[in-house]
Amino acid sequence: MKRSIEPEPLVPSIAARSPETVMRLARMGAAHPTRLSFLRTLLRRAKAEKWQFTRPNWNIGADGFGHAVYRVDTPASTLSLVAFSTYLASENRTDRVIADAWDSSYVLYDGIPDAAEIERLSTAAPRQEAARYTQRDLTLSRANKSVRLFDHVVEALSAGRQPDPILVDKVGYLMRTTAVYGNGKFGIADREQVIAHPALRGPFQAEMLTVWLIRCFTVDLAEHSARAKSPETAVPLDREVRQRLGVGNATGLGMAPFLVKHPTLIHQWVAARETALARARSIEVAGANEWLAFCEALQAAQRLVRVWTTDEPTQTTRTKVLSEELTSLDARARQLEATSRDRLWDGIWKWASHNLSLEGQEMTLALLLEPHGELIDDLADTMAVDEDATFRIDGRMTCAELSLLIEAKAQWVLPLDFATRQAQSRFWYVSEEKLEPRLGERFEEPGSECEMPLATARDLQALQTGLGKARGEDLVATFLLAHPEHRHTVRRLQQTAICPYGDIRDNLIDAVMRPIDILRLKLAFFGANRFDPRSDRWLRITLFRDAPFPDELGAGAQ
Amino acid sequence: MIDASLNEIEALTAKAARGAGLSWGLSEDTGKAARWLAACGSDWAPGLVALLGAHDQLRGPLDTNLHRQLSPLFAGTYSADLCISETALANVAYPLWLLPFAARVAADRRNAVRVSWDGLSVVVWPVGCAVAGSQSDLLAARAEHIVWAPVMPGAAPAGSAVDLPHCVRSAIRRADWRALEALGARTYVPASVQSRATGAGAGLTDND
Repeated sequence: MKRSIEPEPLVPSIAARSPETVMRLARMGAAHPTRLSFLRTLLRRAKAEKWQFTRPNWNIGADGFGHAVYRVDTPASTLSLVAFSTYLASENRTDRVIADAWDSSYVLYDGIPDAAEIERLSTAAPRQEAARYTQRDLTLSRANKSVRLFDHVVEALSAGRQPDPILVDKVGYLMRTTAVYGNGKFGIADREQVIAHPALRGPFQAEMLTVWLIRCFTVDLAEHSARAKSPETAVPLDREVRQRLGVGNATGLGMAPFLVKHPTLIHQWVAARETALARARSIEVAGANEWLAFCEALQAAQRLVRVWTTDEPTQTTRTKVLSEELTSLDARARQLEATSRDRLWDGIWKWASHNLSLEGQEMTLALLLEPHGELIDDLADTMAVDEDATFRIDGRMTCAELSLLIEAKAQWVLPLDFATRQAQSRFWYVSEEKLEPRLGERFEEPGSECEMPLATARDLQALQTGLGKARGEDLVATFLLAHPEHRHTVRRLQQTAICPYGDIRDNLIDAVMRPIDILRLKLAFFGANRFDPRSDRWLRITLFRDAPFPDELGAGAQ
Repeated sequence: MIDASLNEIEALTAKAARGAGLSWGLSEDTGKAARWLAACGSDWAPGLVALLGAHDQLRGPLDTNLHRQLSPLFAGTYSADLCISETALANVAYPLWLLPFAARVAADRRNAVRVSWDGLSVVVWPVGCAVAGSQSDLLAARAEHIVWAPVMPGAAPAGSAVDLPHCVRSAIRRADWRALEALGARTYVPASVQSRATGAGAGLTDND
C-alpha cells in the first residue's frame, strides 16, 4: 500500500458541499455534533491549557438547598460558577422558558465572588429574568431536576447501590437547563467583555463552560443528598455511571430567530464544518490510526443511537433507520478499507451520500471528521466573526445590480408562489405575555401586523418586485430612502451573497415548515445529541453526555 | 438609573424604533447607532426618546413635516450607505445621531470624519470620537447647518478636543428606559387562546 509522505494539503482537492445542498431545512434538521462543535472546542482548550478546577465553597444544607462555587483557573484569568439550589413545588416545574421558578440557578462569574457578591447573586439568580445583573456576570442560567432520575439516583446511592443503568441511559441527565443567557441579557456582560477572556474566545464558550460546570453541580448535589439521607450507607456514583450523565436542555422557538439574524456567523460555522469534510475527503491515503479512530467513533455512535429515545413519531422512525444505516455503514466501510485505503474517506462519503438518509449522511460527516483532529481542529478558530464588518449596506450599487444579485445568489426564492395560503401560512412574532418568539397562523390568529422579519424568501421576492419598478441606474441608497421597508432584506442579501452558508434556503413561513429543523442545526453546533422533539416547536437534548468531568481531563481524547 | 449592557441598549433601541414605525432595517441601524453612542459615553437616551416620538407622530421621514427637519436616521443611513465622506446638511433634528453613521463611513474609508454644527466640531472614528466645543451642543434638538468632511491626514487636532471615554456600560434614566420599552411593546402580539395553546408547542409541567 502506498504511503503518504507529503503533509495533507490544507486546501482540499475536493470541493466543499454547496450551500444549496447544505442549507436546506430537511438537512439542517438532521445535523449531528462534530469535533468542531463548541463543547468539544471548550474541552480541548481546557485540556491543552491545563485549566485547574476547585470547589472552594459548598454551602448546601441537608435539605439540598444552598449555594456552591466552582472555580476555574485558566492561564489568563479565573472564572467561577456560582450555583444556587432552591425549593421548587412540583406544579411549578416546567421546561418552558416562561417559568418563573426553578430547582437551581447559576451565574458564571468573572473572577472570584466575595461574600457580598454571592449575597447579591443569591437574591438575583433564583429570580432569573426578573432581576438585574452586572458586567461581572458572564452568563445566567437555570436548571430543573429530572425528578424521576434525580430521586432514583439519590435513593440508590443512599442505600449503597449504583442507580439502574437502564434508567440512567433512558434519561441521560440529572438536571436540564431551560435557558443559558449570554451577551448582555438583563445587564450581564456583553460578548465583547466575555471574549476578552482568552479562555472564552470562540462562539458560545462561556455558555458551554457554564453547562459543563452545572453538570458537576448536579452530580455533587445528588451525592450530597444521598449522604444527607443516609450518611452510613451512602456511596458516590461510579465514574462509569457518572460519565453517562450529561446536562439536559429544553430549547424552543426563542433560538430560531438567531439563525436568521446572524447570517455571517452561521456562515462561518457551516463553512468550517464543510471545509473540514472536504479536507477529510481529500486525504489520499487513510492512515491506520485514523481508520481505528473512525471505527471507534462509529461504535460510539451505535451506542449513542441505542440510548437515543424519543416519543416523537418522526424522530423515532428516523433514529431507527439511522441505527440500521450505521450497521450498513460499518459493513461498507470495512469492505472499502479491506480493498484499499486510497481515497478511503471520500469513498465512504460517496457511498453514504448515495445510500443513506439525511440523518445517516450527516452522522457520517461527523464520523469522518472524528479521526482528523490534526487536520481540521484549526478550523474551530475560524468560527467567530466580526458581524459589524458586514453591517453597512453598500448603497452605491445600482438597483439593476442588486436585482442581478438576487438572481445570482438567491435564485431559490424566485419560484416560490406567495399567492398561495400555504406559502405564507405562518408568521413569527414576539408574544406580549412572555416576550418570547412565537409562531402564529396568519389566517387564523390576530397579530400578523407585528410580524418579525423572518420571512426571508417572501421579503426577497418583494424586494425583487420593488426593484423592478425602480430605474435600473438608481443607486440602492436612493431606492432605500424611498423604500425603507426593504432595508433589512437588502442588508441580508448583501451579507449572504458573500456568506452563502448563512442563508437558509427554505420558506420559513410555509405551512409545513418545522421550527425544530432550524433549532437542530444550532444545537448540533453546540455539541448536543439525543435530540428529543416534544412537538414541531421545541425539543429536549443532552449536552456533555460521555464527556470527561474536569477531574478526568488529563486522560483520553476530547 | 439603570446600568445596562451595550447589547441591551442595541436591542431595546431597535425594538423601540420599530415600535415608533421605522422599518425593520432602519430599526437595526438605529439600534447599532445607540450602541455606538453609548460606548462613547454620550447621553444618548433623551434625544432618542424625543426623536422616536417625532417619528411616531409622523410615521415617515421628518423632512416632510411642517417643521421641515431632516431625520438624522434617514440622513445618516443614506450617507453611510453611500459612504459619503463630504457633505453639507441643513436643518437636521438631533444631530448627535449623525455621528454613528459618520463612524461607519470612517471605518469603511479608514479615515476619520469631522462632523461640525454650530460651534461644535466632532472628530469621529470607528470606535470613538473627540469633541471640541460645548458638550451640551452635542445634545441639541436641531442644527441649522451641518458640515461632514474627511479629516485630512496630518491635520492638527482641534484645540480643545476631548476624547469621549470608551464605555462598556451605559447608565439610563428609568423614565427613558420605560419610554423606549413602551415603544418596543408595540411590536408584541397579545396572547390569544390559540397562541397560548400552540404558539410555542405544548404547555405542560415537566415532572419527568
